Amino acid sequence: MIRYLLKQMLGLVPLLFLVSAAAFFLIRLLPVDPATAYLNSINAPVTEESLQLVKEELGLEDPVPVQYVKWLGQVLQGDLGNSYQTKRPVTEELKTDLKYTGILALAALVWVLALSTVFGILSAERANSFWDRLIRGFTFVGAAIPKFWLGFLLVYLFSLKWGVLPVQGATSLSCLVLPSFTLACSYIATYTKLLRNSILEMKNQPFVTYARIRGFTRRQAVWRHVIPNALLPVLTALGLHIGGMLSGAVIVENVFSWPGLGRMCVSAVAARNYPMIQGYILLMAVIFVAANLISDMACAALNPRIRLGGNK
Amino acid sequence: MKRKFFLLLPALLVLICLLAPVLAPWDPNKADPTIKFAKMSASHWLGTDYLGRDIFSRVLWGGRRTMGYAALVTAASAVFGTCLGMLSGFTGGVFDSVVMKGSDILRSFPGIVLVLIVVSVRGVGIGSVCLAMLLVRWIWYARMARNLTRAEMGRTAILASRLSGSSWLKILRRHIFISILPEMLPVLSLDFGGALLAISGYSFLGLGILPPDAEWGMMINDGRNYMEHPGMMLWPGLCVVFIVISVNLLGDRLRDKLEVRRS
Amino acid sequence: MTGENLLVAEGLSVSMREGETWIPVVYPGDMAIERGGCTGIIGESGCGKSMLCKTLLGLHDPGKWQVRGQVFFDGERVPIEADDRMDAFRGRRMSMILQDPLSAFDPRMTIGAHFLEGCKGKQKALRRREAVEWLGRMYMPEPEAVMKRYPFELSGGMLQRAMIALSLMGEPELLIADEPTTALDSTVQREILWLLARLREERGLSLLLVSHDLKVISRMADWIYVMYAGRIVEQGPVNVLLENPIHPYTKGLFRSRPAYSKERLTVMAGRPPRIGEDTGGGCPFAPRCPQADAACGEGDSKLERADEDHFVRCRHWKGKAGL
Repeated sequence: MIRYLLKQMLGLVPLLFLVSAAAFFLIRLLPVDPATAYLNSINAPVTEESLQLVKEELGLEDPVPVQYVKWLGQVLQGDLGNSYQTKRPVTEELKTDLKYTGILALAALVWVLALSTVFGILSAERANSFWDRLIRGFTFVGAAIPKFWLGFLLVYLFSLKWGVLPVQGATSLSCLVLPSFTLACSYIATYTKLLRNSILEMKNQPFVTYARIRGFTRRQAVWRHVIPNALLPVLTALGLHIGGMLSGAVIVENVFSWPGLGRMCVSAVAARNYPMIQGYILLMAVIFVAANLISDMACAALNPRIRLGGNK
Repeated sequence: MKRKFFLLLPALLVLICLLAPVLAPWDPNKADPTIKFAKMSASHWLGTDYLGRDIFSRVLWGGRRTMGYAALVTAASAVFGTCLGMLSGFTGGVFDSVVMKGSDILRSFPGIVLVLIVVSVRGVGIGSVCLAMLLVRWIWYARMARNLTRAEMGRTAILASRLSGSSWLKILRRHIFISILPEMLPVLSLDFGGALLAISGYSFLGLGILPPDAEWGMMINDGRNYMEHPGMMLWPGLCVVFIVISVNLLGDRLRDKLEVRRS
Repeated sequence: MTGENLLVAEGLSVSMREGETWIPVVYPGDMAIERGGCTGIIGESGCGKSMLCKTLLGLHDPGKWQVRGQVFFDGERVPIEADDRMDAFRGRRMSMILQDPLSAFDPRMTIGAHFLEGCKGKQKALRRREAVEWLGRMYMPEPEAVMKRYPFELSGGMLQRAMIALSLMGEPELLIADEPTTALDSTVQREILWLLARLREERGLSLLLVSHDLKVISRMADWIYVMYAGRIVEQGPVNVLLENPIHPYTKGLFRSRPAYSKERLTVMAGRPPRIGEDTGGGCPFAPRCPQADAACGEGDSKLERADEDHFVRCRHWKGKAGL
């Protein structure tokens, strides 16, 4: 088990390295040199002296590889520089934003897990019934609705027309309902479909028939053998969709003015706030790697074949 | 019959969007402050937006851009991914394992991060967005083409062709490409829907197509401050949903057909 | 048939739904399984043998399959049409072992967990002891350790033993073995067959053995049903059938085995009709039959008595007795 996880982790290290290099060279590749960019961003006059000063301050005189190593050392100590916009340390800013994005993502995950299992099981167990058709219709529409449009549609209906939920902001739990559902919607559709197919496939497995042969009722066979096995591919897929969810959060946060990482990064791009962009990119890579590891761990815990390192 | 109809309708929408320069009744960027938020009428079929621009014309022009760029990205990533995948499957060895390992890692990497990197370097614009999308979208094609190529390689026809001294390029083109093409079509169709959603999403965030040019995602963003006039958001949104559902259905049908043919 | 019949099937048939029509998979036929005996069903794959076994256990989805006919078990009618009432029969009075032992076990569960499934609280310890005992009876090496293993960690032969033990835990009177040795290599095959024969002798277990392998059937069974294209084409005691097969299909089947014929191995030409394939209303074997004539194409033949216990479904049987 531990060896398996170590192996998985080893595969992701090059990614972290690549992303950190990309984040670093980002500033070196700019059409303007970093010192000028910095001066522009703080609205300081660009003069010979000020440029020299900034270059020294930012350590831009060293050769590039040396700069990278120095920068990496700082990053590892949690120093990502200061935001051009607020002058506060990037790590501080990221911390607050991360909290909100985390809440949003977790709430979305709850939606996804709850609804897609219920829908998937209902749909497969009552295959071709009215409910199955309804749910399958939803999976088609749910996967095709762009998040930003769905978000506004929900705001229009629930906030403006019926006034039951707040339009935006992040002050109470009710503010969380619409954004998290918006983020979750397409994944609910995807996993419902996946789980439905997976259950129908599992039902034909010999071990399910054999459970019936041993005298277990249909219901027992479904709950003990069909559903637990059908959930495995869904959990694996969840790991694959972490990246998509992080991207999706950016859009949802912008729709609902949710004060998370996504909204921050778009405003940082607009303001050419490079330290913040760098920080965001690095943080995303770390979250991505961590989330992948967690999903690998979950799969290993549930699948004895992986856990015991059997031949795949 | 019903199913055919369901494929005909989106095809019609695509066609009229393509013909936007001819069919659009108004200049999509021409603002007229005197007719802001006009209701649906004979002259402005879907009304006008907050600057008094004709929504119908903007939907057509916007569709042309959104779908055009989505098609471009899909085509480019399909060509690149398929070629790389076929080569990888054909040569095997170190090259193959490097490509597969790389795609394994990048497969689920958040696209937004790459977009941010490219946009930061090259500046905001549809070119940057397309480039960044290309960087991740080739992966599915590469993986699929590679696995299909591997499977094809074992076939006797390929072996015979190799023995008879055909050049590797000819084998790839004549035998492998021909036989894996039908397998790739459903993926192409589904991926186009994904690309369309992504492009309109990035434009919505203001990273892609820049104003005043119309684009579906951006039109929805324009409408967010005027929610009391839902028409601004409704039409482009419906178009996106409609097109994406259609291509997803098409993809599913192609896949079903393929399965029937296989069995 | 000398002894008492444990299971009797009358006019049992199975059809598969295809759109609006029902395609016959098993044609109406009668069948009897002797108490304490071993009854064999032999036929090529796709002839409806496995379907017949599943039907006896009422394992068909009523939406997709249509089952007709009656089954009596120990004189009691078996409600094969009602899934929920079958739970009292399955596992308790009759059980079954499947062809591929690996796929018959839930991959997420240890062997022990399969044995303990459905047990609560104090029952568990008792059941565990019983399970170890049963595994021991199957000559399973280190049964305690095996209980903790996952299916993919065990060999096919071990899994097959575990499956037999698991199926017999409910003390059924009849064990249906659907191709129990096909997935195993030949030495393990022999061990499993020996085990089944022993269970029959020691515990009075009745067996229904299904196989395409004549060697297996002729060694184990005392009564044979030969199936072709969903029909029973010949039936009788094993020695009668082996010495005096009448139906051309049975003859062909026996001749394909080098052990029973001094002639060179002749593989039967052609293939059996697919399920639902139109056979023109005639005998389904006619296209492959060396002795077929024009009459064979007109109407399916009936099962006729050739000898006291010997039945055959061939209109020309009288002229074909003897090899």
